[in-house]
Amino acid sequence: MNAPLDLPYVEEEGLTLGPVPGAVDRVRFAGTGEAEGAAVLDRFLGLLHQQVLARELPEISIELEALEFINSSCLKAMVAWIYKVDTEGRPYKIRLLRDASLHWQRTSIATLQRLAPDVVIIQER
Amino acid sequence: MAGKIANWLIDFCQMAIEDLETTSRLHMAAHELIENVLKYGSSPEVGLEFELERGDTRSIVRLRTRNTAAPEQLREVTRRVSELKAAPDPIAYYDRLIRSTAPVAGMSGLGLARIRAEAGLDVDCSVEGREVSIVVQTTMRSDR
Repeated sequence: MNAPLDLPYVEEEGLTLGPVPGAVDRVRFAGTGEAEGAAVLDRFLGLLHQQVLARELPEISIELEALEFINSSCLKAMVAWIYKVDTEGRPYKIRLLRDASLHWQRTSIATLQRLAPDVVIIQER
Repeated sequence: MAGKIANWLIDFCQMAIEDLETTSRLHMAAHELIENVLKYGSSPEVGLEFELERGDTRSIVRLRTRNTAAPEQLREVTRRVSELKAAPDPIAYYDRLIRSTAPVAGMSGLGLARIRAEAGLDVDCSVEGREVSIVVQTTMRSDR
């Protein structure tokens, strides 16, 4: 049994990013991601990637329901991470838990899945 | 900053548009357009307009930004919009753009394509001197 994820709880540039308390394979994003938030998200995803690889997790889940919006700079950070996982041996899957009542989550999360259909799993909440 | 302006604009739009789906699409477009103005604008004089052209059965909603920019930025935005307008399938174009920029660090360059593919709005631009005007628009069923 893996220990909970050892990730920081980040509240910066309108974004809140962090592990779900006690969870071994789940993080939660909230807030709004604008241009200034892209570097914050990029850093967090880098740490998350390292943790998932080190723990040899088969899958990581991201709760997105409280993420009100991200602009294309933050979307690009997600794209870069997913592309890396997809092109470096697909060591784990990424489950994105979205709120389909939010227009942007319907369209943007579908975009991420089209980028890497063998890596990204969409789950409605 | 862009988010606050976009939210303010959409609050204003909602006084005229009841269709939540359309305002959500405009919200995405407003975010991306304002971000571009803040990123590439070369002077504090910028314009942001919302227009609703009511018809009997269909109405047109339009967002327009205006800002001055460096010549290379003007050329770049013109090129991007031309490519976008020429693409027969906006989603396929967007997907190709995402795939090609995914390994490249730095700016995304995805904003306008996202407006076209995800928000489903038409995108156009015009340049006059050093000023660029970007217009995005869609039609919707008239409420009345």
